[in-house]
Amino acid sequence: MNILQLVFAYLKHRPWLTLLNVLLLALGIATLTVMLLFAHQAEDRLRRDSKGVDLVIGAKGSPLQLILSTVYHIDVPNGNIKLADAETVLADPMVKRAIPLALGDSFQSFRIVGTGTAFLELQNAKLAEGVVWKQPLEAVLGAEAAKKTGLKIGARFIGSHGLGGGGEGHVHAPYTVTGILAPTGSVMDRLILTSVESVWKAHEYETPKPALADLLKGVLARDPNVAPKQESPPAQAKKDDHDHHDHDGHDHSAHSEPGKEVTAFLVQYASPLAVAVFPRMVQNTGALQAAQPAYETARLLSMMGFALDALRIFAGVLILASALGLFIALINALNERETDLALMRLLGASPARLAAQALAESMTLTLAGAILGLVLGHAATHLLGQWLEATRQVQMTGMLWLPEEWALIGGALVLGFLAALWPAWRISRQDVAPVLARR
Amino acid sequence: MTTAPLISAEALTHRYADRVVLELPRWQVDTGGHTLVLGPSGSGKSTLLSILAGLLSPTSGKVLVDGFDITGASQRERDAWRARKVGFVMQRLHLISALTVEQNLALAQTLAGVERDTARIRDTLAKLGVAGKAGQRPHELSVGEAQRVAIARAVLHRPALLLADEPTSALDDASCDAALALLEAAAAESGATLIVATHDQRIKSRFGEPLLLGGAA
Ligand SMILES: Nc1ncnc2c1ncn2[C@@H]1O[C@H](COP(=O)(O)OP(=O)(O)OP(=O)(O)O)[C@@H](O)[C@H]1O
Ligand SMILES: [Mg+2]
Repeated sequence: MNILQLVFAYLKHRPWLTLLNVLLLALGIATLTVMLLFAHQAEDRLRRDSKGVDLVIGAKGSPLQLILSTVYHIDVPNGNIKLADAETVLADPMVKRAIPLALGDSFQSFRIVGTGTAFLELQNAKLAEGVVWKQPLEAVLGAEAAKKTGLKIGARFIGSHGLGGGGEGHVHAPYTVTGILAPTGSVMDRLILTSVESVWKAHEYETPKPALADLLKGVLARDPNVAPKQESPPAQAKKDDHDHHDHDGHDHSAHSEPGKEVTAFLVQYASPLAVAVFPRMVQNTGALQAAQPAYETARLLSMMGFALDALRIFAGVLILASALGLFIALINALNERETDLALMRLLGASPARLAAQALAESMTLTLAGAILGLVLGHAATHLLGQWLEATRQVQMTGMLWLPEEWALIGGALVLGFLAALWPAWRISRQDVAPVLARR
Repeated sequence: MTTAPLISAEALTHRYADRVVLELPRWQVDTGGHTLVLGPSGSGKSTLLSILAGLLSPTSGKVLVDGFDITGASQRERDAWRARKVGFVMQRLHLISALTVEQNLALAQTLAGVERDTARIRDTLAKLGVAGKAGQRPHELSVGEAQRVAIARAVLHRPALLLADEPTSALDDASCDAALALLEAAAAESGATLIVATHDQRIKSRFGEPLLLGGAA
């Protein structure tokens, strides 16, 4: 009968009390774990997705919305901008690289993003299979988009209008898959990438008037051959017009005749000093808005911070309550087992051994609470992640172990130690003879 | 006197606050003997047994048990000595209710610092007629069975001194006789000197000259 065997015998003797103590702490630890996993992944995600993007130039409106829609691909865009407007500011030498984004369509709720191949370099995306798009209406799929849609190289699919899926199909302009990306761990995994021209092409048959669009919807969806409009010349044909612009790294595919529109440009500065001047310069260009991912992301995180603080307080209260519960349970056990303890002293146990036993009992409880809490926390995060992925297109997993979680276990052990300190001290000071002589 | 006495007490007194509860000018118990300590309630019987077990330091006087100077030893030394040399059966038997009978005895072995010896546990329980109760919990035992288990626990490590405080006060005449017979047999089997403290006049006849406390007659 060593100390731990005795501890387990006592814990088993009061199963409901033991369960209550463990559960109370487990709930607190689980809450902290969910927070930890959530905050870590959210921050990680926000940072990775905005990597290399110093500025986003898009339509006027909420800067946060612009960032959310073009960098994180969560929200819908504010609107489009005219290429002609953007070209003037992008010609500035402060701009090292500008990557166009043309949004608006999706396939099975995966966004179709018209862009340049520079976008792949920005996120360090490598092709796992196939080649990058060359012709309009060729597309490269992010790793997850490929997995979930089941599309293979050479497969054809029809993009539908709108970002949520369920919009009318661009049946006249089916895409062909030419490549599939290796996983990047960023939002790119969930995108379908193509050239800007493809997106324009897909929309050439769109009628801007909603009433007419409704009318056409039924016909178009049923019969791909009802394509009333004439094809316009491919956008690349106009490419040469811009060859006199000498801005290295610019993705020329987006630069086209005036009147063409994109959703935004992701801008990389040539020098960090640009941050002081360039955004204001863009802002003053009438129709354009400049939004800084670093700033908006920080704002987003601080907004998230409030919610996390509230959760943290909740978890703190739970853990405090569990510590108090544990303390009371130990004091209770001390009175209940007064004769047991005196008897053990009689049989030869030293006061230190009895104190050690009280500490071991308390720490066993908190360790069990911590482990159960971590398991619950990971499971809850996983379920939350699945729900978020289904409803918000946000990826979150519970299958992740953070170093901070060791600290949670360590903290729980310290808590168990502290809660038992005073009871243990009292036990070690207990007088044996009177207890045993009692009749 | 042919053998050295197991217990020898001199000028022993114990006080609680200013009240003297025990006064023993001179007392000796022979090794292997069975001695009754008799006295009314409050006469200091439990106090004496606590002193003999090394649980309580007397106010003054000198006590030697099996050559060990209890009164001169530190608390720690007395704890270690008691674990090896003393067995104690209390009126309230104090079996640990969270443990089975066998676990209670195994814990006693651990705390006494002897090897875990399941055979010895089974054997002792069998000699006391409760071999079938090893897996039971204390609350599943009758008073008589629980007492046998408590006796088994007290003699498991073959103590030199077996102390019993009021072992019979809750028992009827027949059980009272049986309990004493068990104590005597267990003491004899493990070679222990037996001291029984009681106010129960029924058991006077089983013992030789008792130690009378508090003017008991
Ligand atoms: N811890 C203590 N503090 C103060 N007084 C005590 C303490 N323990 C015992 N006493 C007193 O000492 C006296 C002797 O007590 P003790 O328990 O030795 O008597 P006893 O002979 O065993 O009595 P009983 O037959 O009732 O068990 C009693 O008057 C008791 O009230
Ligand atoms: Mg007494």
